[in-house]
Amino acid sequence: MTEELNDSATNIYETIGAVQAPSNNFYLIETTLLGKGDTAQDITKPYRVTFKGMLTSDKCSSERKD
Amino acid sequence: MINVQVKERTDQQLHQGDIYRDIEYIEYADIINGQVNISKLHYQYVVLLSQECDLTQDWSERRKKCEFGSSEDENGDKQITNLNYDKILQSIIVAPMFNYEHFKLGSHFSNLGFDMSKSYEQFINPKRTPRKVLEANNNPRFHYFEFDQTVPIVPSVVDFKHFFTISINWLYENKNEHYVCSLDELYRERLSQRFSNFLSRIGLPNEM
Repeated sequence: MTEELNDSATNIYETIGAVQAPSNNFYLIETTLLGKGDTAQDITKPYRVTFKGMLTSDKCSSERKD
Repeated sequence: MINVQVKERTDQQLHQGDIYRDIEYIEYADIINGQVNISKLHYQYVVLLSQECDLTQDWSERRKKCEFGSSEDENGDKQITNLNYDKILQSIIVAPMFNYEHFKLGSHFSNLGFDMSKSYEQFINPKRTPRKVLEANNNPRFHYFEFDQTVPIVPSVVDFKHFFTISINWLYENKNEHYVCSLDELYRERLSQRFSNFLSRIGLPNEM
């Protein structure tokens, strides 16, 4: 019998679906809905949304609002 | 249990006891070496818990800023006024409202990987005391809401261990899109008092 930690012990979040990734000139964004155990997301319960993206252009600016 | 009375406010101010839908809590938002990382939690309904007097003073100063902040004299120069904005708020406290059916099963955080079913089984049986105590709002940690049929919200529970803040500027800009209704004053005051009582409780060490 092996005593290895499985994924559920090291990461309680499980990716169960993804939505289409929006993008524009500056950002490429990947969106995932995360949950555990469910095969379908019940959006009446709290749920987590994560965005991960890379800057895809050198034209990046910030504007300060005073 | 008497149903909670609500009303629809038509003014633009935020009020304690307002209920909003589709509110998100930003866990983090950062850019590291060009990579953008954002994580947020979505809540279907939240109730606003910040003090009504703080919200009113904040609103009053925002109105002052609108009225005097951009006033100009006859030459078109901006007038210097000695306004201060000491009572402007940055953020407001809200608490999620959980669907009571999910709550009784302990599954209201299941999307986030937290199963609470064992500790919440006591609330399933309608004849058992813990459930009656919760629905009568005598359990200090929870606040139970049951609405009239005219209100599009199912019976819900606020857990005073779960609350967060959101940007007041953001909510003012997006209020109309998210506003649902407001608790009537009596019910709002009860919620506010029970929340503050729970937060100010004195915790004693657990028995060894």
